[in-house]
Amino acid sequence: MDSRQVVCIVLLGLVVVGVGAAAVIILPYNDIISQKLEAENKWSAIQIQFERKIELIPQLVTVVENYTSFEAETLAQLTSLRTQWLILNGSPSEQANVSTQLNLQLNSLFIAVQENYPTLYASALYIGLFDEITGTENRITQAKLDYNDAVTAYNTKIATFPGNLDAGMFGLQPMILYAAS
Amino acid sequence: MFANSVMNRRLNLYRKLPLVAIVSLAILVMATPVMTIPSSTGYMVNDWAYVLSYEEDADLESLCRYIEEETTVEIYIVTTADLEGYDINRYSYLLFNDWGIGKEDVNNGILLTFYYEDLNETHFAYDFRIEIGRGMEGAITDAEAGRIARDNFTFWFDWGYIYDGFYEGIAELYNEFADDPSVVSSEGNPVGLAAFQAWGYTNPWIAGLIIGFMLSFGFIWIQASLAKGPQCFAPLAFTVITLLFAWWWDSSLAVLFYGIIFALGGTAVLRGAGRVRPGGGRTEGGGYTRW
Repeated sequence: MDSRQVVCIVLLGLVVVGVGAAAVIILPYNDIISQKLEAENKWSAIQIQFERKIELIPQLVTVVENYTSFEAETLAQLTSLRTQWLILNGSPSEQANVSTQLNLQLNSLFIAVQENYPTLYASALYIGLFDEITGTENRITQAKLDYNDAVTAYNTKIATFPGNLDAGMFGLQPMILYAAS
Repeated sequence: MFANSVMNRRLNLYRKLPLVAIVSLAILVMATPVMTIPSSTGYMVNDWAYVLSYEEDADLESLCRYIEEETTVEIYIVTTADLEGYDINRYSYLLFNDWGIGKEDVNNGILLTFYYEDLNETHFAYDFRIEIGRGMEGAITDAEAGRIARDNFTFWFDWGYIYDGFYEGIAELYNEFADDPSVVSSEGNPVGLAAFQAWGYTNPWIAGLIIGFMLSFGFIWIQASLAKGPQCFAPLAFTVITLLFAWWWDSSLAVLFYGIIFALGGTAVLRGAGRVRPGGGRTEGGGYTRW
């Protein structure tokens, strides 16, 4: 075989390998990164809805305070939990902890109002606030589910071929699902 | 001998491959959970649980369309007996976002989901949700949605008056946002080429008639110029452009479909009619032969 032919074949082989590598490595990499960014965006959507819920607490406290002086302890707890939330610096485990406590306090307050304060329970203001808080809870739930969907899509991508090659090369770690509280 | 038996075994394996493929595919299909949100129907009232009579359905549909014409706000109704495995909140959320209810610039959509459940011959249970679009939250807060749901929707639903609940509730929702300029979309009707495409999409029969004429003309032109050598490229190009034009006009290809139907049908009726002869004539043997 002529030496020029050999060079030609080798070059052709290199080009084929290069195109194949581009197809297997670069294109999935862009996909993976955009999915990761989307998941992070969904995470911030959860935070935004949590903020909304936190902002509703002072209103609730005011409304309940005006009707009753007996639930002062619960209300103080709620207020302090809200303050705790506001000074958190975004650590997910801390956040989950405060959020769980907050839900417990809210639930006990709601039950107390329902059982002991029928006039408050029937007042339009309280019903409206209750609806707002329930609606915010729903938004948080939807945001969490969306976040988990996005994270699952991302994790699937970096666990399957050819995304796993990228994950190995660029050190991409799987993201953590938002567990049910 | 040994090699032969191995080969035989391999052959058997290859013969079984299609069967294995089909069986595994079937298992895969059956094992896949079906959790799919139904696709949009084009109607604003989707009474999949059959809780409305035909007249009530049509009446609510015209009410919703009237509200859309007046305020650009889109109110959709979905009644269903199957939430596809989701709870009603998730179902409404996914369906709302999947269908893209409301105009894109102000997100002014409302979805009313009614989940119907048969308890026995005389009793039913239901869940109901008002899903408010992002841009409507100023006009209808969660608290207002809750009040309207309790006082106007479910107040009637509880007594089995589904239509009355929807009608009164929608009227009440309309009062909430009727005077609110922030929910009015500035997305006008499509203009220019987009309007032309939209017209074709809504009138595929008429657009198809036009395409059919063009196609028939193209075919006749091709036949006339086939013998003239390179000249036949002009009609060929014309036909190809017609096909691409029909495709661009309506990417769902309904226009092209009707166009081809009209072209074939027109050709069969106009040019084919004279050639289909019933037959039945006889001869007695009269005439002349030159040997």
